[in-house]
Amino acid sequence: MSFRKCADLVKGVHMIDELKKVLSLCDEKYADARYEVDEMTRITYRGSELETFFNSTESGFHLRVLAEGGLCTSSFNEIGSFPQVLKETASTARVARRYRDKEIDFTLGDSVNEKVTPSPKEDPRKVSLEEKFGLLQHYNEIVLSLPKIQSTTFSYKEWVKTKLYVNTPGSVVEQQQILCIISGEIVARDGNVMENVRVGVGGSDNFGKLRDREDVFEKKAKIAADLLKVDKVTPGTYRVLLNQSMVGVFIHEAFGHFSEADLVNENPGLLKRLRIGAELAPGFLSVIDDPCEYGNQGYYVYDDEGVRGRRTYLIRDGVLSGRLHSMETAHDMGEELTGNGIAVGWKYTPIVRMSNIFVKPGHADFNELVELVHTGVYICDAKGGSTMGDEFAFGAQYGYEIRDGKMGRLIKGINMSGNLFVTMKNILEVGNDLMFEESGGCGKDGQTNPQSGTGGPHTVIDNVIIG
Amino acid sequence: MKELLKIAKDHADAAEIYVTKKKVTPLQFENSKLQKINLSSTLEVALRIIRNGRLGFSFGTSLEDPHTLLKQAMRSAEHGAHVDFQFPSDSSQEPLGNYDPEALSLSAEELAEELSHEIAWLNTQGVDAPIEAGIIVETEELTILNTSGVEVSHRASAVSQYCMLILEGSGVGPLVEDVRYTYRKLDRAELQKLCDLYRLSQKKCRVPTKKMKILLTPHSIGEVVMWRIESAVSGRSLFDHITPLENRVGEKICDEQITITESPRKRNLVGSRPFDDEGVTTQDLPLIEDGVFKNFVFDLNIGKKLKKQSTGNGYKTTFWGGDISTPVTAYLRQPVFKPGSLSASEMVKEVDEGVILDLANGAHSGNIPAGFFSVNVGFGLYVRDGVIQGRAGDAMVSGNIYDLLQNVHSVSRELNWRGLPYLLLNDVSVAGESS
Repeated sequence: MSFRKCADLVKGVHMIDELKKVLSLCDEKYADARYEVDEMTRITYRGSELETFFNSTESGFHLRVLAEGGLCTSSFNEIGSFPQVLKETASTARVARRYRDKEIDFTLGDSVNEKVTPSPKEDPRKVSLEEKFGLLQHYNEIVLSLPKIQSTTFSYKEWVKTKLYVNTPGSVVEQQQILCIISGEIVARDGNVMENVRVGVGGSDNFGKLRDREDVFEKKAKIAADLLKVDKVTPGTYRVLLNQSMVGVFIHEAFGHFSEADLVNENPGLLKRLRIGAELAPGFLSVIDDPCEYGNQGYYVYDDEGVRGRRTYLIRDGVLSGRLHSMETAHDMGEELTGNGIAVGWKYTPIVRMSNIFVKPGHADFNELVELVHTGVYICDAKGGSTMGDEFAFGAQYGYEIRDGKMGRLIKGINMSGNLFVTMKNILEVGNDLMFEESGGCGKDGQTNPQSGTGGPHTVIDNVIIG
Repeated sequence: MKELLKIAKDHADAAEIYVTKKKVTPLQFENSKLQKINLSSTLEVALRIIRNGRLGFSFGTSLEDPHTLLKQAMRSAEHGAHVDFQFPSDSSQEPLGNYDPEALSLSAEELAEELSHEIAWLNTQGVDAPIEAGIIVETEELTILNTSGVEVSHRASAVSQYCMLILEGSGVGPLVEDVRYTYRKLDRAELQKLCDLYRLSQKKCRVPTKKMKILLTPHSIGEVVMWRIESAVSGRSLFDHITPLENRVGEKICDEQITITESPRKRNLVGSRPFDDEGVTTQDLPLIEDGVFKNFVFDLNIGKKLKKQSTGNGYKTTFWGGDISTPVTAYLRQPVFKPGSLSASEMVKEVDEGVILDLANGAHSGNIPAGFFSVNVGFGLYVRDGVIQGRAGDAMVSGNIYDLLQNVHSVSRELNWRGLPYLLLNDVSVAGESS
């Protein structure tokens, strides 16, 4: 079947019938198939010049076969090769079984037959290209006109994903997901000194969230310029106040990845420390993952295994109370399905991902938190983070000294790191001002997921290593 | 492909087609169990056109619908960037010895069998650790055609192998990694060294907050040092005036022990390429020679804007990765260090107090354009009086590579599979847990 026919079919139910027809040839224990059409629009300015503009579409298939306790998956482009791929995938799955002592099996979700169509407040597909160019140029010009700004890289990014999912027990899910973001980097320079900060707005299917955000871009450009003349933080161990952006990244990197079952299920030592019921944090701390948080980056209705997403309490009142699962890990660990099996496009197989992870707000207001720190550092706006084993590290774009319970001077070069278990116990208080990030993504197993939401209220942590 | 080029030529002043076919067979063992096998076989195509002096770009997953690709590229060109470069009219497709069809003939079963033998051998060495190990076999055929007459193709294979012994209660540990164009069993001596490191890592040491020596391994040097150098030597950074190396060609920027050469034509290395992602013939090019900065690298577009020739460094790559949708930019392909005289183990003996930084956590944050880094020691070893004391506890290592490369103790004589050495640096700032 030609590409064009496939593209036409996806508009109707024909592709679902094709997928069902191919899967009916499979006599193994379980199989599922996805067909995905990803339309991407991107406009990028570097400095005052347009670097790139495109609006293109990729499409392809992903097949999974569970055969005799082994699992194999295949990603491919051509539907014509489907029967052959099915055969090879099944035989490779049987090979996989021979090299493990335990069968792989799935906990299946409810059988569903549903079509999910988004209804954005302001649909980016209905906004003219000229307007998208104009808005991006407008923000870019504001930043470039400010003192000391050397360079910018700003992009408008829009994804429209149409996904079909069919499995052998009979589930059919057709869903469309839309995401639009304006994000980028600002570089300020004075002689040989250069500083960079990041900025991002949007992160939902609502184009309206991108409008009237001049203040965000102006504030960030000013901070980049101010950073040129301030000192770096002195390395050491501090009591810190994290702003909402930092809390979101902290909870994602330091803890969230360990709630992804596929990162812990084959690590007996770590799993022992992360048993459900383990006291991980003070009693006032609760952490939630929720794909149903509409308007935030990690919003979806069904995951890529046809399982409906739901709210999961990962930590409730300081105690580990849940874990995020795919169908494979839920069966392996004997825990409930959570709907977190996500694949970033047809080229990839679903793995366990966070959706919108956030710290539940408490009662303290900002000033109370500053007083609680008394002497330390206020750390603002995430600049990327990562996890390696039980150690985490992430950067901040800027910060302020806190002295005698009062906000002090601007500082830069802040990176914090630590051990998950030690740092979680060192959380002293959470604020009442929950906020979600609007841009950012998460990389895992070679899949960079732009639909990864993080959030939290201002939070105080003791004894954090700053380098 | 030729049909697409023909119709593109009818509607544009110039056109280029980029087609990549990839096949990947990855086998991964976790906790000594083979996990799901994720096969993939994909074709992706990108079209660039120049129309009325503006660049148009589109991409897709099939050559069967050339009209859609062209329509999208024309729409892109209506709004596209103004360019005045031309696609090259000749190119090299000299084989560089990095394709082995035999590598492809290994079945998933044979690969699984080989890996399970290695794991069984490790289990006989008295190491009671969960083992993560894998073999990933990849092949890529890249073809570039343009309306100036270039029609080139390059096939490459890569067999990546790794093995990590996971430390109790953690998710990391000592790692051995090898990537070649052909299959070769992992060296038993390397695996034995892995077991020795695992035993040494059982003791966790507190690292003080002070300046000390840091021994970067080939794993950590790739992210901590090379990401920053890749940003600095890119013609794109020069054009944007965001490189600390601007106006410094010919100037001594670091210790004379440092010589780094962009080596895309080095035979038998996995990353070698006779031409870049624009069909321009690649060249080996000194970047830093005996501490002196020698060259920036350019693609067609930035080269033209700066009145320079492309150095054959136009790639759909950034340090965050890259795919078919990534625009071409000036980027390094395969920087290779000149080896020094000491072995890695001799370098350890030179450390009065310091950390061997093997896995750097968080190298992608920090002020990369300016050369700053601040990383958590994901996996590292604390050394005193030339002897490894144990695993380095919670600690951060930070600095600016342009300052630190002025104060190099030594470069190792051994290079890894991609041409990176061990690098011993003096007086690096470390923030430990006991401060």
